[in-house]
Amino acid sequence: MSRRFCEHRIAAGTRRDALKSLSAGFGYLAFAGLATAREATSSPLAPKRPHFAARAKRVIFLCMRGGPSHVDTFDHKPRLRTDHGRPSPYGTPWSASKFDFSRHGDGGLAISELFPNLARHADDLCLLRGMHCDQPAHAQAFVQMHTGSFQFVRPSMGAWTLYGLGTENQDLPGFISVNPPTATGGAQNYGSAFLPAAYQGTKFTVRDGSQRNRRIDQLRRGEANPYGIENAVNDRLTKAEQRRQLDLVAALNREKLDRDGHNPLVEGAIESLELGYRMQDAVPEIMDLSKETEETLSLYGVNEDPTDGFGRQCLLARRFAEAGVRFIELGHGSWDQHSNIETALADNCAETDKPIAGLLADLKRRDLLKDTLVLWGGEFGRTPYSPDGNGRDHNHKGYSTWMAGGGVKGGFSYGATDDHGYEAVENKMHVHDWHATILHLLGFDHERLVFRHASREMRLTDVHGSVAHDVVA
Amino acid sequence: MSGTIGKAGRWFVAAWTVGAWAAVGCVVLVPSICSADDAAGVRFFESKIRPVLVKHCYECHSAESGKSKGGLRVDSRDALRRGGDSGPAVVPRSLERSTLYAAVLYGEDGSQMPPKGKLPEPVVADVRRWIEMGAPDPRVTEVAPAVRSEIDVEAGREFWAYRPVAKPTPPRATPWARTPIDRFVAASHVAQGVTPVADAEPGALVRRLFFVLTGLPPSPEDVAAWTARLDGAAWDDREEVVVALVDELLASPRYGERWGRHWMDVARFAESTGGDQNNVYQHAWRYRDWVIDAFNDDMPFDEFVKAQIAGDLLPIASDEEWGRNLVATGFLTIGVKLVGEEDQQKFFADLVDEQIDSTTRAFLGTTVACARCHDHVFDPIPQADYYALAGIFRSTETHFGLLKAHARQATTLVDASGLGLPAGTPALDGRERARLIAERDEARARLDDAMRRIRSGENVFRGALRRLRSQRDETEAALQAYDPDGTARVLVMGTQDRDFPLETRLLVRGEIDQPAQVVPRGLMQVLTPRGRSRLPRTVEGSGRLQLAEWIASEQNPLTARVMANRVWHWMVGRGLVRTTDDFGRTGDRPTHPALLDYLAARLVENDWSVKSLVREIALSRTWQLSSNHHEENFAVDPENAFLWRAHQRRLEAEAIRDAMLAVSGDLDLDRPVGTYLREVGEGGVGQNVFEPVIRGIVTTTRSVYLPRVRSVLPESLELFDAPDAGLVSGVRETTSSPLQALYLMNDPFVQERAGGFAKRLADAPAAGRVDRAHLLVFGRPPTERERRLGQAFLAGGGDLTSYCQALFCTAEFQLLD
Repeated sequence: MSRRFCEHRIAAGTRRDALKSLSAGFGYLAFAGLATAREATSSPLAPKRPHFAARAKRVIFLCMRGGPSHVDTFDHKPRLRTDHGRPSPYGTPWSASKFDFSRHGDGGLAISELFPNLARHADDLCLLRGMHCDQPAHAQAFVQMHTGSFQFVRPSMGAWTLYGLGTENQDLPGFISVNPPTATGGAQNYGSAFLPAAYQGTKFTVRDGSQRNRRIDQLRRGEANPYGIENAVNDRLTKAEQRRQLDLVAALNREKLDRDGHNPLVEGAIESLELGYRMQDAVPEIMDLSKETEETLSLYGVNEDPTDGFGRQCLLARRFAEAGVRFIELGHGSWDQHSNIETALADNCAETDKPIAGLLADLKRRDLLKDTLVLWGGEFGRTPYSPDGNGRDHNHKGYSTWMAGGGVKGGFSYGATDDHGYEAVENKMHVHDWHATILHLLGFDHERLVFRHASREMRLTDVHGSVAHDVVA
Repeated sequence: MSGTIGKAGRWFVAAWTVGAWAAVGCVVLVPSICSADDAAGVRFFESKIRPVLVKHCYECHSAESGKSKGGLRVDSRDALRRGGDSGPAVVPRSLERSTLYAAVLYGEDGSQMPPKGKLPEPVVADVRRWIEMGAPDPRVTEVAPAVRSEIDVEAGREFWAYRPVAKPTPPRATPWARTPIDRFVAASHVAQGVTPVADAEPGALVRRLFFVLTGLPPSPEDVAAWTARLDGAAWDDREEVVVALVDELLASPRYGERWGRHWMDVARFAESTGGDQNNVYQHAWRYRDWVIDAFNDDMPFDEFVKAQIAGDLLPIASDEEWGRNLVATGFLTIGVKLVGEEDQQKFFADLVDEQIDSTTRAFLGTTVACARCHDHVFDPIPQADYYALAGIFRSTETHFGLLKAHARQATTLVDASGLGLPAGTPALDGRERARLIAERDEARARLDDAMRRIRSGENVFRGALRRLRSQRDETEAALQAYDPDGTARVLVMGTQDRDFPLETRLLVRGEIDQPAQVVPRGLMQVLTPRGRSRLPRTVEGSGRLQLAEWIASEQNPLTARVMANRVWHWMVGRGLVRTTDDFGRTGDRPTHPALLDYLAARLVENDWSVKSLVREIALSRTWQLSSNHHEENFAVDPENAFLWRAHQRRLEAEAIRDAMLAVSGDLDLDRPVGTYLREVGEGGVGQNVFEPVIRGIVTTTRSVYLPRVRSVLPESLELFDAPDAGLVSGVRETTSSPLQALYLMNDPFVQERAGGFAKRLADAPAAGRVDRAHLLVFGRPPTERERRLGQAFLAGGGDLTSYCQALFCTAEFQLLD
C-alpha cells in the first residue's frame, strides 16, 4: 500500500491534536454555516472573490487523454537521436523521435513539426517540461489529473474552481466538460464528490463531423444533439405556451409558499425553474455557430477535415469563456500510441493543432487571453524507449504540459527531464504542484481553499502541492 | 442438514485466477538466511541473476513497475518462491518444480519467458546453476519491529456510543405525549423552550404514510377513505385508524421496495465496478431482490446482518436456504473495485479494505478503515484492530465475477444451480449454442495458429492477438453460463471461506513491503470485553461467522443503536444522530440520547423486527405533527433538531419517478426477472458496452429495479441526488439544479407521464378536472385560488397535458409535508 493511500483518508499527524479538541458536530455545523451563508447570497454560484488578486478569471483545459508523447511534441531530446537503437536500462532500446524540432518565437522554444500552427504562438506558451504523477495507468493518472487523487472519489478541479469563484453567467452552467470519456473514471472527472452538487460539471456532447471520426463518435456519444445537453428544448410547446405553463407553476409555487410561510425548499425550486427556463434560450444560442463568420470558422478548422471535431470544441470554448463560464474542459483522444506512433500521433496533432492555434489567436484578439488560463496536457507522457521504434509505453515519471494566458510567462519553459526524457529532474512539477499553481493563478492559496468533509478539511491538493512561482509573469 | 454444503457448492470456471490470491495475498517471511546464501552465492546472484531479472522481468513482475502479471513478482526472494498463478517460480535445487526455469527454456507446451525472445544459452545456464546451488537471494523482506499503539482503549470505552445500551425509562407523561417516544421528545421540548405545532391534517398524514412506508402516493380513493375515517376522530379513535393504515401499508410488497432501497444506499449497491474501469456486474440484482424480500418478510435485523456477512457459513435447514444466504453475502462483493489494477496484491488489499470500510460503516457506524495506515486519529481503534479484521476478510474468497478478457482482476462466480433461485436469464436455444461453439472454436484455432507463428519468429500484431483472446474468452464464458441442454445456470456473487486462514501482519504505514507483527484475527477491542477481542487460533474458517455473530449480538452497543437511528432517519427525515454512518468522535452526538437508546432497546426487545419499530414511530404524536412553520420555535431551533414539527423533505429520486408513473397510471408493479443490464452485455463502459445503450433503457417498473451502473445512473435518478454508491451513504443530498427543472419541463419521459395523466383526467367532467388532478398529484383538493388558476389556464387555451405537466413541475409534488 502506498503512503498516499493513508494520507488521503486522514490528515497527517500534525493536525491530529488540533482536530481532536474540536467539539462534536463540528462537521455538520461547518456545513450548516455554509448553507446559511449561501442562502444569504441566494445562490451558491454567485460570483465570489478569491483570496488575493487573480491573474486568471477562467480556465480552458484542453485535455488530451491517453498520454501524449512529450519527446515527439514539446520536449526535444537530441540525445535520443545519438542513442537511437542503443540499449536503454529499461529493457527496450532508446528510440529517437521521427519528427523534427525547430525553435520558435522570441523565446526560442523548441517545438516539433507536428504543431506548425501552434508554434506560431510560441511566445504565448509556458511549457512545463518537468511534469510527473504517481501512476502509469490511464484511469488512475487521468483521475488524479482531474481530482488530485487516483484512489478516492474527490471533487474535480473544475468543481473546486466553481466552489471558490462562483460563475459570471447565471444562465449557463459554470463548469462545462465537453466530450469527457465514459471510461477512465467517467463522471468522477467532472464530479463534485463531497462538494455541493451545484459545483459539478455539466457534460456537453459535441459531434465530430470529420470523415475519420464520424462513425466511432456516434457509437460513443449516441445520436448528435445540437444543444450539447439533454432536455435543452421543449419539442411539444411553443415558447409562449411554455411560458404560460411555467407561469402557472410559479403561481402554484407561490401559493404553496404563502401557505407555508417560510420554505427555502420551495424558494429553491422557484429559482431553479426560472434558471432552467433561461437556459433553454442560453444553451441553444451559445451552441449555435451560424452567426460566426467564415473567417472565424476557418480559423478553428470547423467544417474541415480532420479538424472539424476539435475545432467546434475550441470555438465553443471561446463562446463559453466570453459568456462567463468559469471552467471549460475540452476532450480529445486517444493519444495512447503503443504502436503506429508515426501516423497516429501525427493524426492527433493534425486534428488539434489548427483549432488550438485558432483558439489562442481568437482569445487574444478579443482581449480574453490575458485573464483566461489555457491548459494543455494529458494524464502522463510516453517512454523515450521503444521495443520496435513504432510505439511508446506509458511514462508518468517525466512529461510535458503547457499553459498559456491567464498571467503565465510566454515563450518560457519551466522544468526539464533527463537527457533522454525519461524522468523529470529539474524544477519538477507533480500534478499536485500543477493544481496548486492553477489555483494560485486563479487567486487562491491552495492550502486555504478547503471544504470540511469526513471529519477533515479537504483540499484539491490534499496535503501536497507547491506553487511554481517561476511561471507567473 | 447442516451448513456443510458451503464448500460443496460447484464452481463456475470461466475465469482464470482461482486461488491466485491465496498465494499472493500472504506475506511469507523467512527470518533466517539459509545456508546457500553464503557470500559466493550472493555474488553469483548479484553478477549473473539480478541483472537478468531486472532487464527482462521487472517490467511486468515488480513492485517498481506496479505489475505482477500472472500474479508473479520477481523482485524479492519471497515473491519468487511464492510464485504466481502457475506455482512457485523458484524452488531451490529443483529445476523440475521451478516454473521460472521451465519458462526460460522456452519449451513448446508451456509458458515462454521473456515474451520478447529466448534468453541466450549462457544466461539460461546461469539460471540453471543458480537454482541448483539453492537459489541464493539476498532480497529478503525484513520484518519491521512490532508497532505499538498509543491508544488507550479502556478510556475509549467511556465514549457514549461504546457504552452498553440500557433501556431508559421514559420521562413522565405529559398531556401532549401519547406514546413513550413522545415523552422523551416532550422532555426535550421543555428543556429547549420550544412548543410542538399542531397535529398534521388527516390528508397530509395519509400522504406522508403512503410515501414514507411505500414510496408511492395514495390514490384519490385511498385519500378519501382514510381521511374520512380520520376526520374529526378523537385521538384514541384516530390511533386505531392509523394502526389499520400502517399495518396495511407494511403488509404491502411496496414497503420492501421502498425500504429495501433505503438499505441499498447503505450497502452502496450498484451494478458495476465503478473504479478505474467501469465493468458491469451482471449478477448483482440477486442481492437487490434479496434485500427487498428481507424487508417485506420483516427478517429480524440480527439475521439480516449475519446473512450479509456470513450467509454462506450459517446453519441451514435446506439447500434453498443456503442459496438465499449466499446471495446475501453479495453485500461484500458489490463495492467499487479497481479491476484494471495490474498488481494483484494491491488489488486484494484494496478489496479487503473496501469490505472492512463498508461493513463497519454500514452496521456499526464506525470508520475502522481509517486505521489502515496508523492508529485511528479520532476513535479508539488501534491499527492492529484493522489488521485483525483484515485477517478475517483476507481468509475469505470474494466472487464478484467479470471476464478476464475484460478486466485484469476477475474471479469466478458461485454456481448455485438447483438451489431454487431464479435463473434470471432465458434458456439458450440450440442454434444460438451451436453458433457460440463455432465462434469459440474458430477463435481458438486462429489463436493457436498465431501462437505457432510467433514461436517460429514471425511478427504478429499484438492487437490482433488481444482481440482473438477476448473473442475466445467471451464466447467460452457465454457458453459456461448454460448447461449443455441450454438451461441457464444460476450464478451468484458471494463469498466463500478459504481452506485455511491466511496469516496477516500489520503493515507499517499500510505498505505491503513493510510487514510488522502478526495480528491474530479478531474484532474491535473497544467493543469487546477486555482481552477477548481476538479469535482463538483454533477457530476454523475465515472467522466471518464469528464476526457476524459479534456484530449481530445484543451485547454490541453499536449495532442496534445504528440501525434504530437509521430507521428514525428514514421515518422522520433526519437521524437522532445526524451522521448516520459515523457514530465516532467526529460524527454528531445524538440530539436525544435516551430516546435513541430506548429505540435501540425496543428493536432488540421485539426480536429485531424493523416493522415493529417503524410502526411504533409512526404511531407517535411526534411523527404525526404537521410540518407547519412557527416563528418563535424557528428562532430558537431553526434546524428543528428538537422536533417541534415534522421535517419537511424532498422526495427521493425514486419516489419522484414512481409517483409520476403512479399518477399517470403507467406504473408496472411486477418485479422484472434479473437486471435490465442483461441486454447490454458484459464488459466495461466505454470499452465493450456503451453509455448511450445503457441510458437508452426505458421501463415503467419501479425505480428500484432500474439499472444501477456507477457513473451512468439513469438521468431521473442522477439528477435528483440518488447516490452513486461509491461509499456507504445513509443520508442523501437534496440539491436543486436547473437541470432538474429542464428534465421536468422537457424530458420525453415526463411528457409521456403527463400525457397519461391527462388521459385519466379526460374521463372526468371538465368542471371537476382540476379537483381530480390535485387529488391525484397532491392527495388533497385544490384551494380556491389553485382551482381558479387551473381553470383559467385550461380555459385560456392551455392543453390538459401541459396542465398535468405543470403539476409535476411544482415544488409541492416533490415535497413531503
